[in-house]
Amino acid sequence: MEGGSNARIHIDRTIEAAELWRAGNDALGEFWREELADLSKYTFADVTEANAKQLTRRSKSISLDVESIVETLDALRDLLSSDIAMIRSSNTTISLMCGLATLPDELFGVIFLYACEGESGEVDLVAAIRLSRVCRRFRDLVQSNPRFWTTITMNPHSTFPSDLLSLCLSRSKDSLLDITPYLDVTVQKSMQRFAEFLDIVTLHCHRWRSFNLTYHEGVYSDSESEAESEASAETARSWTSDIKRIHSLVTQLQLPNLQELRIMYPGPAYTDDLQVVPFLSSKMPFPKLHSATLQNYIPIDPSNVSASFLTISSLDLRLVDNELFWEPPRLLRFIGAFTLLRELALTLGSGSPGNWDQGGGDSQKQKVTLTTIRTFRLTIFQEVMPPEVSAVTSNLLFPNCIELELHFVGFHEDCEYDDMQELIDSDSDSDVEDRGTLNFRDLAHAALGRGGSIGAGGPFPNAESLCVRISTPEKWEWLFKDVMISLPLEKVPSLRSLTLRSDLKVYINIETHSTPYPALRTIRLETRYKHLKEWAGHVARKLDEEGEWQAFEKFVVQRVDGRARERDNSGFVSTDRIIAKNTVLGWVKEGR
Amino acid sequence: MSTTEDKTRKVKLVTSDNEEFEVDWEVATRSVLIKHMLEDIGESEEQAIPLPNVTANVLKKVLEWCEHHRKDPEPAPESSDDNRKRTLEIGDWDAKFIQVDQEMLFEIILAANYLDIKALLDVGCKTVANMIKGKQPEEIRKMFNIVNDFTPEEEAQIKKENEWAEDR
Repeated sequence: MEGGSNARIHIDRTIEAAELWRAGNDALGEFWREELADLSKYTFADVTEANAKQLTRRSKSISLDVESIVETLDALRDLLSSDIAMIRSSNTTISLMCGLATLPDELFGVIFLYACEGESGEVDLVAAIRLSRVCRRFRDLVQSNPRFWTTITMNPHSTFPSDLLSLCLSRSKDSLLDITPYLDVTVQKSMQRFAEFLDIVTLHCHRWRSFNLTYHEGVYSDSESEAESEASAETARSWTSDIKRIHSLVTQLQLPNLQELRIMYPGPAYTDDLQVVPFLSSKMPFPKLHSATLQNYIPIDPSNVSASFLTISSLDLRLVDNELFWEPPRLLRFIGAFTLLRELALTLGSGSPGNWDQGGGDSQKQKVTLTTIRTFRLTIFQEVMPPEVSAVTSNLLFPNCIELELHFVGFHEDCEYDDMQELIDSDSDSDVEDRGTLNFRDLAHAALGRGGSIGAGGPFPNAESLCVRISTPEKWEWLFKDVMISLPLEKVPSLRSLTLRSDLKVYINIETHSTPYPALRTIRLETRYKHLKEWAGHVARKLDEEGEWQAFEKFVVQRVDGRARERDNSGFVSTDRIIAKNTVLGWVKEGR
Repeated sequence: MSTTEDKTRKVKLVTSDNEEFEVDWEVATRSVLIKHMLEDIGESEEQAIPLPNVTANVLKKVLEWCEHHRKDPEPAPESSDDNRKRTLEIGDWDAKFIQVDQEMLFEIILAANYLDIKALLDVGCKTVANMIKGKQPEEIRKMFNIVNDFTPEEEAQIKKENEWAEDR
């Protein structure tokens, strides 16, 4: 190979050598071919005692020659394979390097932002710092772009260096900030650290875009020990003076750009002080606040909540470990206090049996009518009892809700196996030992509230779109052989578009005994849809019987495997397949 | 606003290597640059639009994208700081379209940037971002053959910042 910029392999010489070896269009030489042709002429009848040994010897000889040639070629290929791989890799690297180097800085900025942003738009500071470690150009690009320095995080277990905090605040220039502190209720110093952190970041409070406060239970999070739990509570109690100081500070903050608020408790707050969420009682207006997420927290008295907070458009309320807060009347009062809410997401996690009907049966409760809500998303975990769900849903009315989503989840990630066993419907005759049915039948009925039918009101008289999602943590999927769910579609009388979404691998049994059916226009299956063909056929027949088939438009099926997508992070989405109305029955039979 | 006449109109484009492409107005005007140039030259159908920064093989690929997306709605105006949510997801057709060799990938990005085709630029940038995301500096250096050009002092400073970051 020649050196310099135009180094080439001596292709001519290589070809010449190959030509010589091939010797007149016959790589192995004329003799070999003639010998092979001659040996091929012999048949069983030609073999005699006289020529048998000689024929065998000639045959073996030619075979040995071929073997040795194959071995030689294999060795040559092995020798070349690493060179070939290196050549290909070199070509790829060069094209990548040159391609990337020629991009203008502004495009680098876009690419880096895509690479560093999380799902909710916050920049991952760690990812940005990693990029800045690659080379000077990368560092200069990252450091000069304020957006990379807008996520200000306080870790509960390590101190965010104050000089780095100052650096972030200065490099972010005038950009809006996402403030994300984590507090550990088991660590005495955590609150003190938070107070110090707040002292610095409140100087930039006019730039806060979001505030995301998460309480952790640190090392005790998986512990069942009462003593340890009491220790956490004790730590939280010791924070009283700091909490009061922080609340006093926060209620006076001017937050003209605050748009999102997120307060997450791991479980019920330990103390009365912790039950007072910063910001909610602020006297200052938050003109841009539009959404809030609250986990395991419901204010005791909504009348003390700031007016700015009660006029947000999107509320995500998660009651996932809620022994203390699982009080439907309190929940209903709180939700009912919002005046401009357009989107409500409600998560009902583990309930507290026996406590769900506190405050009297739902007949005694005032029904709450949520006229402004257009989208309602309800997530229910398997652990919650249907009456608990009913106690909420039967007392809420959504007269103008257009879009409805029900997400049924088979147990929490951190559920105890023994507790789950009691809740799984097991079938003693099952051929799959110890595997049961993930049964959401009653929960589905409870989720859509009591009453409601075609032409008879119900909680969702105008909902046109319903998405039913079924999932379970991947680690628990092996426990189930199938899923059972009901779809009482008569409770959604204006329904036009139904979506079923699940990435579970087990069989999904759907009961749909609605009479009559709502006049569906489209059904979308985002699942391993082959399992659902029978059901799709059943729906088509029912719509036909009830005279609604004329208006039906299409089935859309999409092969989805969200988990696989998360793993390979390819960013690719699956393909839709549209099954036209006139081909539905053929499609149902296909592949049976 | 496009008229019915516009939609039937043909547009001539000339690449840096002097190849001429004749495409539908609706396809060509996915590019904001071409759209503005067409507005400047008015009704003259004969006048070709020169594209000195794009070669024929790249323009062919870009036009394939424009043809597929010819009916797409006009892109939304630049989002403000208030609306930050982005996704790295790429539509199915676009994902297949962008499965090209690296040289072509970067050529498409540069062409989309020059021609001002925001949606195509996004597809290209997301593809490169997916290649970078989650990788350690050394892996990125190796992937792009980038030399670590920090001085020992700079390296120490970056390391200091990084110690905290890695600790999280």
